[in-house]
Amino acid sequence: MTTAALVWDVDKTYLATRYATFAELLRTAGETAAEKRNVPGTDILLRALVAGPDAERPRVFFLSASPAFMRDVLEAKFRLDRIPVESLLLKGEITRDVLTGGFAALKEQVGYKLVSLLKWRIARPEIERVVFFGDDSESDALIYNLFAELTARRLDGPALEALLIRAGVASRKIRRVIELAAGLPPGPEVPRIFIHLAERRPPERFRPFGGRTVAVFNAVQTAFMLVSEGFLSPAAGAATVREMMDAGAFSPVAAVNSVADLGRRGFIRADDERLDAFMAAAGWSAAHTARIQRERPAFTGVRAHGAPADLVDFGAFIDAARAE
Amino acid sequence: MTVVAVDAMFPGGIHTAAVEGAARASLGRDMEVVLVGDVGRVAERLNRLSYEAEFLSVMPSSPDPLVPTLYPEAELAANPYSSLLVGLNELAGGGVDAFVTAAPRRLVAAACERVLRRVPGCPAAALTEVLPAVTRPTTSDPFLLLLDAGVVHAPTADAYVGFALMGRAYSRIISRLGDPRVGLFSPSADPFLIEPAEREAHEQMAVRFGEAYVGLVSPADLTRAPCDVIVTDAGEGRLLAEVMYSLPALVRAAGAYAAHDAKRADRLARKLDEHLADLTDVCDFRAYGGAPILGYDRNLIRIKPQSPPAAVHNAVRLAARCVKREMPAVIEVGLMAPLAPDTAAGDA
Repeated sequence: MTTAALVWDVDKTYLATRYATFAELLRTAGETAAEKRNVPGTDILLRALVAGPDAERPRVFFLSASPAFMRDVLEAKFRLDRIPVESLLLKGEITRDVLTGGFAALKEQVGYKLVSLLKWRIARPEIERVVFFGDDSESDALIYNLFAELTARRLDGPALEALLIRAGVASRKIRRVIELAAGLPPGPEVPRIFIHLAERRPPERFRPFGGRTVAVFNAVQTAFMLVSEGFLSPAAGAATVREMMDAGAFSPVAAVNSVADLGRRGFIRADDERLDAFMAAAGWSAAHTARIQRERPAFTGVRAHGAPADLVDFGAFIDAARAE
Repeated sequence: MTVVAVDAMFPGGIHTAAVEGAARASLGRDMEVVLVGDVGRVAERLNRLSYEAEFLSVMPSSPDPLVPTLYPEAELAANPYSSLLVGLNELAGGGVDAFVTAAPRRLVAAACERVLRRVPGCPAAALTEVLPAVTRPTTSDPFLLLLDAGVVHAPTADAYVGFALMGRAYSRIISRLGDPRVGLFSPSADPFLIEPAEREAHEQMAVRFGEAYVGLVSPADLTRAPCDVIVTDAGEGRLLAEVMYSLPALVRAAGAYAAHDAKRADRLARKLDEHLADLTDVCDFRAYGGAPILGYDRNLIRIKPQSPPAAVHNAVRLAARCVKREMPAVIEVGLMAPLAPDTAAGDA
């Protein structure tokens, strides 16, 4: 068993769920596994990530605020998608706050998910490396980054308490987080946190979290970034993107534009050889690759490497969420 | 899928409204938007916006914007990688289907003549403008089309007639008018008091369009003439458009003057403001976006540098509509339009 883990959120990260209204929530709750739609390409990407030999295969976990009664249908969906999920953590209840989003949802989610993640970590001390996948509709970026900073021992005591109060976490949850944080085993490394821009919030919104957090528009961008983290070889990453295109999830132009967008946002260096290998393996036409090459000299790569050198600016993110 | 390029630069540097308008257009996921400009600065601006990465790309150009000049050819020659020339070359080469720019008019006109081809039969290309129109029985369209509004300063008679033919073709397709009516804007309604080229154009249009030609339209008749298309030269066209844009401000100023004292002026201004917002919606380019340059074999939309993002978004959508309706081909056919039926029968 390898010591790498992939921790995914479900709604708007793996599944293209809509629950902006109560009617949509009811419809979502009534869907069968076959009716549930993936965020384009996520099933293909996740299958590619777990396609290696058992010894190298990352372990897959889902953590969601979806209610517990969704368990059967979600597990059936994972089986349909041929994703070997080690565990699915669901919330016992759902409140109207989740429907309205914004700061209310943030308060609702942070305490629950952070406590769940800390317990998850304590139960699995052997895991050495975790990549997180969330979305921009709730507070995944905040939660995953808090987890990363707590496990890196860069955040504790009064600073942690002040931050959780600022995030609006209930006092009993704050006490629980502090207790659990005190008992954390060393590690794991959190090289990347992927935030799917399901609500199309501006990428700048996630800049306070530093280079480790990558706001992605789609699974093509996630696949490329996972190549840079070594979870996929350039050939496997490109094959994954090809499969997404074959499945009709993306046109070649959409895929090419998505990779170029990462370059513009500083996640690719102009001289990055993996980009060449990726483009060659993707089988894109000369006209398509030319679209990336023409912008390439401007790719600074300033965010190409993950973990931030300094503590992330949680306050800036919380204030922006509060203002929304 | 339609591909619309948007010039992300203008004389002040990065055209932030163009970037924002293009970002909004990309969210529609029904066209690809290509921003032409300095990649670094475009990316920095985009990062703060909602956009759709799959439907948006950037084409690099020189980071130095063009500047307005009396010598556009020299400015273009000195800046071959300006966003205007890069975008137009891409348009000419077929890499994009339409191009939206806020570059200065003279530079756009010179660059188009340098890079694009006129459609067969086009004596001169024309920049269009839309103006609020008098209510007409034939249409519910609140605008009339004005051309030329900034490219040709001394048109020949053939150029005037060409403007009329292009304007009629455009109005048929975009405004869905069956038989658009044309007027020739003139300082005087007396044909003997106007320039020779205008007089010749007046005579040609009367023969060519028959009843669809409403005749000379003097400034006093502008708001009364039942026209769908007004033909004029660049100088008068600009003047008309600018007066129209500044109409709400002119009304406010006149109101303040008429009120005589500050107290009454305040009261009147408040009353006027209740109604002037509606007037601004109709008269202000910020509400409707850009206007096409007609006569070339490619789709080109010019927006004003002060256009806000919503106007740029509208201009991008207009560009996509022009592409869908094959506007250059429509203009080419329009320029070959036969004489009006009655006139043709009379000639025979």
